[in-house]
Amino acid sequence: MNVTQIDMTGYDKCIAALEKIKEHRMSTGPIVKGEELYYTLLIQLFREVRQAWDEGKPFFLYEMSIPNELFVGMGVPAMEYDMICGSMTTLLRAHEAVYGAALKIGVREEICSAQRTPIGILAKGWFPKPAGIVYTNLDQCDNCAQSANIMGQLYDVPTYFLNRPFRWWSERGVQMMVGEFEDAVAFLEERTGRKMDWNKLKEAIEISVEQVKIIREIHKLLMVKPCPVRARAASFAHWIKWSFAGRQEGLDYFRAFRDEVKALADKGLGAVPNERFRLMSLFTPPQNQMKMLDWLEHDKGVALVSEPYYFRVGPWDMDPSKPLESLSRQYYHESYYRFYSQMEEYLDMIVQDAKESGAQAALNWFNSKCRMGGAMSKIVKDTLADKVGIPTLTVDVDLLDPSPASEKRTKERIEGFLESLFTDNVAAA
Amino acid sequence: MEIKPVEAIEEAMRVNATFPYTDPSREWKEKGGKVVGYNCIFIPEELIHAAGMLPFRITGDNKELGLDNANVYLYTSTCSYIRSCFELALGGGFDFLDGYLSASACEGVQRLGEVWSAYLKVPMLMTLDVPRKINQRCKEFYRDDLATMKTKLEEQYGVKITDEKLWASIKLYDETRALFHELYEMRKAENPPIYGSEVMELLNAAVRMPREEYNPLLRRAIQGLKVSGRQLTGKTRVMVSSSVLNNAEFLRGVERLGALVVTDDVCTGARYFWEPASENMADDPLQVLANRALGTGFPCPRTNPPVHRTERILKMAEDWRVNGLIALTMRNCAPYVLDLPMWKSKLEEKGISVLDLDIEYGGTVTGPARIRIEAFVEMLSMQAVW
Repeated sequence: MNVTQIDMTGYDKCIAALEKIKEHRMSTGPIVKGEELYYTLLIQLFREVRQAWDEGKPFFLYEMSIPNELFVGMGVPAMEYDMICGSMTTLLRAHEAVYGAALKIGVREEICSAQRTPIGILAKGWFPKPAGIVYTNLDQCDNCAQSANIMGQLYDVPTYFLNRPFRWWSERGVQMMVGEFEDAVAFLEERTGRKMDWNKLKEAIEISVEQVKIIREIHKLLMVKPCPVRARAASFAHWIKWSFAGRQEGLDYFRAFRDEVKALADKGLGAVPNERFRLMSLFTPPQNQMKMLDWLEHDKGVALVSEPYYFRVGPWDMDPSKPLESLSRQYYHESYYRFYSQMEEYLDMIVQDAKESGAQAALNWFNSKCRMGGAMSKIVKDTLADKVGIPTLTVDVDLLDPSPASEKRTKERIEGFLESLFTDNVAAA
Repeated sequence: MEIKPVEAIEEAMRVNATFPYTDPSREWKEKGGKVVGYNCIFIPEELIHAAGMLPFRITGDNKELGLDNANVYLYTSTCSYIRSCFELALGGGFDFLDGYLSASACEGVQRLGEVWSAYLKVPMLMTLDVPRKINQRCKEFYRDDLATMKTKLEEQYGVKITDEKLWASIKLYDETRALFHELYEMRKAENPPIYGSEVMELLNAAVRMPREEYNPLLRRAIQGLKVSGRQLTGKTRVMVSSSVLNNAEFLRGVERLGALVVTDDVCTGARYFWEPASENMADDPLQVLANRALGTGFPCPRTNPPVHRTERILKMAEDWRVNGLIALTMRNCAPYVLDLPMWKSKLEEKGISVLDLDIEYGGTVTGPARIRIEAFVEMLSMQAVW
């Protein structure tokens, strides 16, 4: 199933499309600095990889949760493939072609679109050939653990699999991950013919420490009344956090984002024109239907005041003098990854966030292809009801593939839920 | 030619007919014994056995179940194997267990343990941390988690698992593995003496009764086959591959269509016994168990790198001279779905056809599945003629 021909037409179209979107956003109204930077950085990343490909220099593809700081330390461009391929598919409106290509080699529609998409993109030959692919089980995601096997075979490139333990927060777990990172560095060195610059890695971690501090500030600002953070911003921030960890540009983005949110909060202004509902948002809203978040804000007055996945980073700080150990421990403090691990830890996290934020209810954006999430949807609902006393609407969506859940249907369900919340509020008053 | 029944195989079938609370388990309990459930082969039965308890593999039934109750808790994105296990558990089918051990083997197994812990009475003792990668670091890590599991069993039940007991258990279970290898060797014959469905019955019984009683039963089955003069014939030789399969009735259906099921790539089949512990000798019995589970002999689709598994499937297909392979792709079993493309085309390049068949756990050879299998068997038999 090797791909013999690389076709960069689509890749270049994505860069052009992103530039147009940015231009459009800037010309049609005031665009906040954070949003502008988001598009700028997205375009920059596409260009960095394109340039490396043109010049015959090595670059890497990596999976979510592989720390970008490693590639910064190595001085090589790298792209997180789950979300970037999702963006490509949306920008090219190529869902049918991409998922069709994945299906043709046996990757069926029940596989999470975040992994089906990169497989489909590579099966089409729409991505430049990397020097290697670095991936992981993300603690316990079967799709993440195996999709790159197929990708490596498609492009005939070596892969490195980083095994994450189930209980990574134990000392044994950390030590194991340190060993796995050491092997990852060896892999990168072997594939690039250059050595890890440990000073550069240390600097990258110092930047990440600052970035995390700002994310904690944003987490607190999210809970201010009225909420000064736009719902879309969380997804943007999440993507920048992954792709620009350890880079000055990433830190600049978060500073700009924090400053504009804080300015609103200081003035007592909310991001939602008429804030009526303060909700918790669980997991990831459908990335192909971001306009639904705008609809929630503008038409329904919904503010997402609790986004534990994106902003609830643990209290621990990385130690740049112990770079690999820090990267190992940081994984545990990244709230997003708790979803893929021990259920109890995850439930504690969302209960705390729900209590601190005072959210009236929760929207659980349930990725219907996700087995980790599926098996949790009832217990999440039960736990939030029992321990926080709030209702949860489980919304069946797909992260990237628009076909399984129509926007209309999703909106109808949310509308019904909001109506019942409103009725309850009136009754309580 | 009349195919004579083999008494030991019929005995295994009688055990399976009483599943989930099998007669031997009931007798064990009536004598005051404890039964500990598990549902993944990454949990070494030897450890439970060495604690003086009966390891009991939790599975779904020998038929496709309605899963309405399990769907409420696990949602339909969880594979039907895991939901079938939970459906039975919700109905009280596993209430006779004294404890349950889970593992971080795949999404389904892990979440089953956690949901079990939240909603069922039978205590979930712990989730064993099972690495996906086959290397020394992971084997040592896994070994340490086995030590935690050992302590957990000792504390929970007030027993002591000595090295001596553990070695004795390893030896006992290795004996089973050796016997299964002997049985599978017999299936290489042009006219094997046993049906695939009968092998499945024997495999199912192995994890549903005390091993001290089971090994003699399996030995009698092999001996019985040897003296039976049975020589099975079929239109073609088929290998069955899947993540998990307990439904002997499915294999019976395939065989009724004229195929000889001669071997398998199933975690309740060859993958269960393939790797002996004795080839993984070390001073530490826990390390032996870890080395075996994360061995390269016949790995689970979840393991990395995938090459060991691919090589084993190709070699097995060659050694058992199969004409075709039926891949039972259970919906939402991501490890298997994502592994199949790694070796399917390689098998086809060797001239071995692969039927990628969507089927739910417990499904039988009826409806569209029957039509597709029948066509596949016919196609293979025509190839043999050509």
